[in-house]
Amino acid sequence: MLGKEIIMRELTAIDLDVDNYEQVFGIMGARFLEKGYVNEEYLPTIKEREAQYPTALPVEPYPIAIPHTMATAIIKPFIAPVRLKNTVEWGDMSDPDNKFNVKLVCMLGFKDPGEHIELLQILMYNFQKPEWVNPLFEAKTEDEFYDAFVKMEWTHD
Amino acid sequence: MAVKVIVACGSGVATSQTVASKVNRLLAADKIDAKVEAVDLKSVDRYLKDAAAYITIVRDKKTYDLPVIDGIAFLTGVGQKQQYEKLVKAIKEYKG
Repeated sequence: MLGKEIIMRELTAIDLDVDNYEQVFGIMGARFLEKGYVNEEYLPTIKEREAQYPTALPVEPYPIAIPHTMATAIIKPFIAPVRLKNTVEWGDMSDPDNKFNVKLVCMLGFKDPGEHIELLQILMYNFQKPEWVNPLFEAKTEDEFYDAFVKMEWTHD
Repeated sequence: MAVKVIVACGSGVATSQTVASKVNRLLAADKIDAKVEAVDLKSVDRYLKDAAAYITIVRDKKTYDLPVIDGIAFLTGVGQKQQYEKLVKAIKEYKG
């Protein structure tokens, strides 16, 4: 199983100043491509997939989006923790007619169809813990944000 | 034979398999003889014919002949207990 090393410091961003979720893909997608994590398929496929199957989840206390796309677009697996400057509307995974105001985005790039099952469960387990989530919103620098993010428990129930 | 439960999401990959894995673990812990299978939304109707319940990720406006369970609850933990109880009831009442 993959470990915490796939949470990438160089793909961590805070206060990303965007007006909509597509801009998140544009900015972060360019960084993933430049650093060799994805190929050219990433940006078009993630946009298409998100439009068709949105990925914001109503975890409490804050909704979190987990955009991901097909394995063939991924070169190196990663988790990219991103905090936006302001919330943007993000489609609800469970209901095509609903949207959430999302500030925390966990961008996922998985290659092996098996590995995401464990990882998604680990993420979900942590998303439900205010003691892990709150510091993510309070972090003042990218380093603080990253440090808070990697403190997640690498387990699930 | 184990009772069949179906979970479907858009791609049949990430989310539905994650939910299937979690629910299978809950059922095994409670020694309930049922198996959750993740399938592609496009082919779901075929699988529902001999299933005890349908766990949805994306809510739709269709009506089904079998109990429908909210799968997002198993991802977020919000309302999970109620959805799990509903699922267990559906499995126990399933006549095949």
